[in-house]
Parts: sequence; C-alpha cells; structure tokens
Amino acid sequence: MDNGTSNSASENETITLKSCDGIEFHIDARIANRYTLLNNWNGGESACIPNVNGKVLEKVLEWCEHHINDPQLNCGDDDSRRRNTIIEEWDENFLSCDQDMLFEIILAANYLEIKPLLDLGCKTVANMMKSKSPEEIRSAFNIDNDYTPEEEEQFRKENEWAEDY
Amino acid sequence: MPTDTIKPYLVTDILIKIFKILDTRNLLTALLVNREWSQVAVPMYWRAPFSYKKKRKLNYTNLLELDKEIIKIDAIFKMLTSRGVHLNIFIMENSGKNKERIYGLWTKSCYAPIFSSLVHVEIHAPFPKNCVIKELADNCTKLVNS
Repeated sequence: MDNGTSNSASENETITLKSCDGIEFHIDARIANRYTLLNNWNGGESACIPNVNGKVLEKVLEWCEHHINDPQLNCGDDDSRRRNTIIEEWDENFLSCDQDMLFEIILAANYLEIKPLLDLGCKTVANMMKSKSPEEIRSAFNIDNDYTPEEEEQFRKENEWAEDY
Repeated sequence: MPTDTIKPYLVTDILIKIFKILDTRNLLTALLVNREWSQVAVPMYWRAPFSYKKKRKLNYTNLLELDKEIIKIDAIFKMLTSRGVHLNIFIMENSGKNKERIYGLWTKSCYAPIFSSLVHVEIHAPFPKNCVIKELADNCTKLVNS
C-alpha cells in the first residue's frame, strides 16, 4: 500500500497495521491512538487486525483518518447520537459503496469498537430501510423469506397496530 | 457468525442497533422480513404499545373500543409466547395527561394473565390504587414503580 507519511516520518510516529489477509498499512500513530486500533498490538513492529481483510481495513482507516480530529464522545450519549439521523456529506459519500462493503465496514467497526463509525453504518442501513416494504427490504439486503405466505399474513395481522400510527 | 457465509451478514447485536433507530412503523416492516429479524424486532416493537395507542385511540368516546383492545393485547401476548418470544422487560409508559383513562386498562381482571410471563415491569406513572400494584407484584419478579 502507498505510504503517504514517509516524508514526514520523522515528525509523526508511524505504526504498521496488518489485516487478516496479510496486507500492511502504515498509519499515523495518532489515528491508532484516537480509535484504539491497537488492542491487539503485542508491542512488536506491527499490529495484526484479525477478522478484518485488507479491502475493508483500508476503508476503515480512511474513515479514521478523516475523523482524526473529531472530539471524543462521552460514554453516556448513546441516545443523543442515535437520535441524530443526519449524516454528513463526506460520510454519506464514504458509505455509498456497494452493500457488501457497507456491511463489512459495520462488522469491522463493531469488532474494532469504533463506535461513531458503527453508529454511522447503522444509521445508513436504517435509512435504507425507511419507506420500504418487507419484500423490498428482503431483495435489497438479499435476505431469504422463511415465512410461509400464511404465516406472514397472520404475523402481519397480529402486529399491525402501528400500521396507521 | 458462521464461517461458511460468503455474504457479510448483520449479526443480532448489529440488528438491535439498527432497529433502535427505526420508528414504530419501520419496526413493523422489519419484523415482517423473516424469522430472525422478527426475533430481534418483536420485543422492541411491543416495548410500549400503550404509549403509542394512547396518542390516537384512547379517549372517552371510544371506551367500548378499549375493551376490544384489552382482549386483543391478551391474545397478542399469548401469540408472542407461542412463538417463543419472551419479553424480559416490558415498559408501560402512561405518564400522559390522560393517565386516569389508561388506568382503567389495568384494573380489568382479564388483563392480569399478561403479566404472568413477565419478569420485569416498569411503571412510569403514579398508580393510585394499591390493588393494581399488588396484582403486578404477584406476577412479576421485579417491579419498578418510579
């Protein structure tokens, strides 16, 4: 991978992260510290990130780099972050990748405990679900319908109190 | 997560996070998608049915309607149990200005069986009659009256 930090290496400490498929990324240590990417670091020359492949890790690191100066969030503000469904333009463009990649990023953010990125991914999926029918959601997310038609109809009847809400 | 899935797959923890953002209407859609999604969405959807109901439906002019609702809700809890959905937490929120009308719901005897499968009820409004609290206390292992 291209290492853009080589010119300023003397100024900024660089850390090497290695994806599960062995691809190395040389990143500014501040990014790793800000988003605690080093939980799996054993103190050697590089930190290995299991469960996240190179393609996905590249995206995750791109996001971390862009958000390096974001303020740290307080622990108790889960709800206020969740209520805010507005997504910044940069983030929206960032996540307008194909859906498999979006899901991979969410899973990686969950695994790496990058909460703001996880929230962002969840919001994006929630927005994709809005004003869709169950059938449209199934086809959009490639989900098999394991209800029989009768069951689905019955389940709809039993739960429909919000239909006109 | 099963290792043989080729497609990335949203695990339960993540579905919970996503569904928490959805409004009730969209949650209804989510629970109709498939069995797995319904297992996650149903308890969230039924978390506080009355707080949604009361906004539109509960008023003096449709008290008769109210009786129907009670029967329906009782049936719904039976349905949930039969589907293996057990609500661990059920939050009743009736702190609106129509408190006394909603209170009528709780005094109906046919309402009591609903609580037999619940382990935790939170009441977000003062309940003036101790007999209702007692009914709940007999049926729940944990009762929070705030």
